[in-house]
Amino acid sequence: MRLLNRRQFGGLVLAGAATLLAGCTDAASSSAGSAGSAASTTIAAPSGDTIRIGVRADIVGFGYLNEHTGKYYGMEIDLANDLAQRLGYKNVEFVTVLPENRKELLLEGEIDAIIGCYSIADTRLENFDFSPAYYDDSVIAVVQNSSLISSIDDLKGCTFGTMGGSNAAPLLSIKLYEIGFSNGESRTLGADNSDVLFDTWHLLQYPSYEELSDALEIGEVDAMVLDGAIAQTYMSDERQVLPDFVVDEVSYGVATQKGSELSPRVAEAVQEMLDDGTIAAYIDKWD
Amino acid sequence: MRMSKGLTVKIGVLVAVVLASMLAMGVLLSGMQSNLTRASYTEEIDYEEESLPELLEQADAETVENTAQFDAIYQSKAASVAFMAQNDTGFEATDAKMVEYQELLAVDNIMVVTREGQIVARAADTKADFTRTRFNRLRTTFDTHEPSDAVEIEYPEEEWLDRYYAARIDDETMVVIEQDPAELRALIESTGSLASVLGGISLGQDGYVFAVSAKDYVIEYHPNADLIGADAIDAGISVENLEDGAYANITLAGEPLYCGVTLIGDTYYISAVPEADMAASSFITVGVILFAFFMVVASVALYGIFVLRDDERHGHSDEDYRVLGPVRVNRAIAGRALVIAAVGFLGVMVISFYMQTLFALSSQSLTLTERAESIADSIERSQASADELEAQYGERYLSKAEVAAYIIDHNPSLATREKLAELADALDIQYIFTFDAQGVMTATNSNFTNFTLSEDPADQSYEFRKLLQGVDHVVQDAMPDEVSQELRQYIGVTTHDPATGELTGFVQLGIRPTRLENLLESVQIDHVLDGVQVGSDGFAFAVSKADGTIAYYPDQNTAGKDASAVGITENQLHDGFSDYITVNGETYYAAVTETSDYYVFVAAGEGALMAERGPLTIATGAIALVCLAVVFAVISLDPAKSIYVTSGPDDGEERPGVVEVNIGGRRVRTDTAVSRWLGRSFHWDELSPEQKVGCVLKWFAGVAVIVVCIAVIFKDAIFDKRSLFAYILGGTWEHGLNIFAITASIMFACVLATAAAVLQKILRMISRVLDARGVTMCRLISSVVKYASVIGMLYWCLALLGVDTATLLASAGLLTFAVSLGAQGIVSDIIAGLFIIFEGEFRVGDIIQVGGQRGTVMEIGVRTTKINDGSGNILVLRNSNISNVVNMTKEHSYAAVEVGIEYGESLERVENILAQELPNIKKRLPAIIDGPFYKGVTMLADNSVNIKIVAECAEKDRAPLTNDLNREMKLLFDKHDISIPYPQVVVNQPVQFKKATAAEKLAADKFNAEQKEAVKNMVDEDEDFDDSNDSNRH
Repeated sequence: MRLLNRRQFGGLVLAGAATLLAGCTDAASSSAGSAGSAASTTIAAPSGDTIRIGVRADIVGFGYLNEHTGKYYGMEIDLANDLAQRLGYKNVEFVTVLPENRKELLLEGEIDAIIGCYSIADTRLENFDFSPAYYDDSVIAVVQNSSLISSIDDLKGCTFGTMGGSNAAPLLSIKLYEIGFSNGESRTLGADNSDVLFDTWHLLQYPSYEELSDALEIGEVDAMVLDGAIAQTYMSDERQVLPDFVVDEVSYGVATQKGSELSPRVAEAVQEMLDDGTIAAYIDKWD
Repeated sequence: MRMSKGLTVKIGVLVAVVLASMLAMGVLLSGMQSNLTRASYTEEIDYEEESLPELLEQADAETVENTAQFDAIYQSKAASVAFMAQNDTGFEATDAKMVEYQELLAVDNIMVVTREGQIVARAADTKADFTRTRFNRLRTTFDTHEPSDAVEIEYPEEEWLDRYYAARIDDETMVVIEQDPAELRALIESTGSLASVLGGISLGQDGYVFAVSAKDYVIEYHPNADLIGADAIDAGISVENLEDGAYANITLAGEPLYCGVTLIGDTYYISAVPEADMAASSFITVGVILFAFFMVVASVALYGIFVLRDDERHGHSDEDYRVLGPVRVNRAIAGRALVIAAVGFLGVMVISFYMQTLFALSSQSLTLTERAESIADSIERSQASADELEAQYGERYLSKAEVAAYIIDHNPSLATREKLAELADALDIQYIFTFDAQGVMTATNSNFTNFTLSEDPADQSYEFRKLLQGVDHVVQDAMPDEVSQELRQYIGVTTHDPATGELTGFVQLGIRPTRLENLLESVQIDHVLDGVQVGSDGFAFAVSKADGTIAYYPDQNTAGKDASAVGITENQLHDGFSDYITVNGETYYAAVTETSDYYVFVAAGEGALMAERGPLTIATGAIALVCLAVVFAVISLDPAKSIYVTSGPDDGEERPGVVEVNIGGRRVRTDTAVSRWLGRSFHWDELSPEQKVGCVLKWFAGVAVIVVCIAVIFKDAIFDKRSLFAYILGGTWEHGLNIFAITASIMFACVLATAAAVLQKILRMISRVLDARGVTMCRLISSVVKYASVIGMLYWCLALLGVDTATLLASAGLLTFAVSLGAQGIVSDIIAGLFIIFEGEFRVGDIIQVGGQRGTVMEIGVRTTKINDGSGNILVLRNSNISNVVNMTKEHSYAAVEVGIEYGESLERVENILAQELPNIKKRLPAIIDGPFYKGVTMLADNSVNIKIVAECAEKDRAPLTNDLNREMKLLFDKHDISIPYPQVVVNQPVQFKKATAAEKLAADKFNAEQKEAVKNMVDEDEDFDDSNDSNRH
């Protein structure tokens, strides 16, 4: 039962793009292809070329594109710049990635690495190499104060919102199943997995965090489930993190193409930054 | 003549020393000055940072309070609808009724909603889906039986911004009010937002506070709206500087700032002062001190150069030198250089101290004035907001009274104690009273019963009688209650019979406006001034305009006393006053601003700047001393071994326009009387070192005066309106004996002097092309300009210094009276003395002739002038008696002798002898500068043919030379057997006179012609006396 559900959710998560299997084969083929191209760029890299890093543009403190200045800011941006320097690149080209396209961009070699609140997960490890985790976070639920919801039990029969393409939805369903909140059966499956009805709860998925937050504001969803770091951007006096409820612990790592020449060097550089306190300093700076 | 190598080196060294010391002085002064400025700004920043958390808390509290107030209004509206629904006032759950209530209550939308969230009735459509958990808070009203807290939804995409309030009707339905909180948002924006808090803070002249998010380093507030939302790091701020409590130089958007950073919550508050501000205020102070310093050092150095050059040209005797170890001192130079250096040093010290004082006091004055103005401003503002709040309260409670009247109209049976208590609760007010059409109270929830409206117009309740005479409503101002003395406000609205429309009485609300009360209290002067902290030791106090007593003073004992009793004088009580004051024997520097009721004083000690001026002056002095010592050493010391190459004494070179005079036994050079007035231009090389230095100093002073003059005339263009120097030039300071008045006097004098000088120059230029009459006019006008400018300057400066000039003019009349009574002699002596000095008729050391008496001027006193007649006798002349002065200080004088020759003697022979002998006489008499010359036959006298011999000499040598010449002539005549006739009885044998030969005759003619030619231009002032001389010789 549980296994079934897991598979079901794996499919659910990836449904928007490809099946897990298709993803695997895709990954295998394209990573082979782009590994070559990546290798060629990385060989040329030390002589001073550009590394393309996929970053988020909407997460304050991590990766945020200030439209006023047209520049990216945040802990991950500093990390990316530092990393590029350590790897011997002269320039960093930032590419805004979204949860729905980041995987493809990296697989197809449009970008060399993702540093964008990308959590290390088993499913992802099948496609990508991850550096050691540079930030630990938890997936949490945020509710409006005016809904008077103060525990997970108050949310029975309520609507949960997540962002499509993030792995919050599968993690949430597993968690709710584990704590006995739900029996895990999904009764209705929307056309694009954005509207799923479970026995005791309802899942709505939104294309962006902005829309997810708005849905919470107008009461369309009763709780939104997302990474703690990302939630910071959308907190206000009228909202609270649902107490005593953590969906899962996640760790962010730098993702690179599976088996690419870059992977061990990135891993080594990140480890170095962890060891010498650089990352701690960045976290402190943007905290 | 070319300079020797040694001299060139010395000059090089001097220039280097001057430049080096200027540089050192500049660096030190601007360093210290900017440190001081920085320190004072740091103090101000500290103060702001200290008060910032409180300000932000206040703003937050205000936001909370405003929100609570706003919510309370709409909660009470919801509650009053619920009350109506529960109390049979014609309530029905229809859309039409909801519209009626919407209009009565002036809200956006009213709905009746079930517990589940179904809308039963509504005044307008709504976007809200009350079934969602988002609105759970509204449902709390079913449990609490109180109106719910607000639920706010803000969804800009659909322009959905509303606050929702619910009140329970029964267990299944509730009334929900939907209201756009735009009014609340606006209120928060103007009272509680970051912009409203930070926008009101100013630092120094152009300083401000801006905010940067500690989360993402986005600028959250900046006075320049373009910068809001920009990335702070991108704009030039480095993260290292953003530490709590840090002070740093930050460049923001290209503007260098001096900043203090404080972290409150998730935001860095950065108090920033533009560096340009700080530099500007010290720039002029440093500039003036540097200029003074340069003047002194350059004068000493130049004097040294001139003297050395002069020395080299004219040579010197060895006795001028004294060997001191390895060096030798040129005593002639050292003495004079020492005097100039010492005077210069004192000058630098005085100017430095003066400028520091000026700088410190004016900045103190500016700061205090700004502070006083901001206090007055906040008093006025809170007064205005109290008025506004009062109006708001009136309006708000009137609306409640109307609701109450509506309810009573629809169900008069509710006019019972219990129901009114319930209604009061719903309307969120204290008391409700109902009155009948006779003004008799019918019901109330208060303890006052059996009350009838007073018929005495002086009573508080009388005003409500108007309601019974056709007025719809009465909103009485809040006033202390007659019984309890608590601030209380009453509002009345008439009630009517809904069927007939007949007046049935009125409903009156009694409220205790605590918030208004608090605000009115906070407007109280002692409340405003209590927290004022100015620098380390400053404070604020106020003097009441009404009765002249101290309305507030930090020390309780002083408050309430009469202002004059503690030492505040009448002339200090006016807007814009800024000067020292004495309160209870303590001296403070204070600034005053006027509000409608008070004079607000902001007083502080002299401040750090004043304390620092001593050390600063000493530092300046020390550098000046070192520099002057080096310059002095270079000028007056030579290596002992070096043999100074001297050119031969060059006595032949004469300086025109300069004569030597004797003053107190010392030989001093002075201008000749003629050159003083003619303004003769001399060749630079012909001037003495003293004249050259004088000349250079004159140029320096001229430059300074012109610069000051330009600064005064174009002050608006050059100086920022609120800068220190604009303040000094602005003349808003007190007139009196203070540094500002003195400075302004000096500046005014500079302007006037420049104007007068320019005018005189123009007149002189005009006079060059005019005829004699025109020249006379020009000289006269020039003289008038001079006196007018001096008198104007005196008058104006006295006015600035606080002398009542009108009185002064009046007292001039009094003075005339006194003069006529007896002081006339003395006064005219004094005035004559002043004129002698102003006109420059003669100076000390001049040789003058007054009323037939001749001598050297020793002293020009206030009343008398003392003249040495040359034989040790001192003539004391009253100044008023000095008239018809002949100033004989001139380059050359003439000694003249007249000798008689017998008629029988051959004139030609004598002339030939003279031709041979005169050059010999010159050799024997060194006092003769030129000549002697034969001036020809002056008279064919009774017994002799008189001839005259003149010789050019210095005035001082004239008398002895005349004697010498007489002696020479006698000896000469004796030698050549030329007899000088004298009265005698001659028993003679005829003598055969020698005849002149033809050659002699020719030679004599030629000699005569030559001599005449030589003395053509000589005017002998003794010519007039010749007659008497001759007659004496009879």
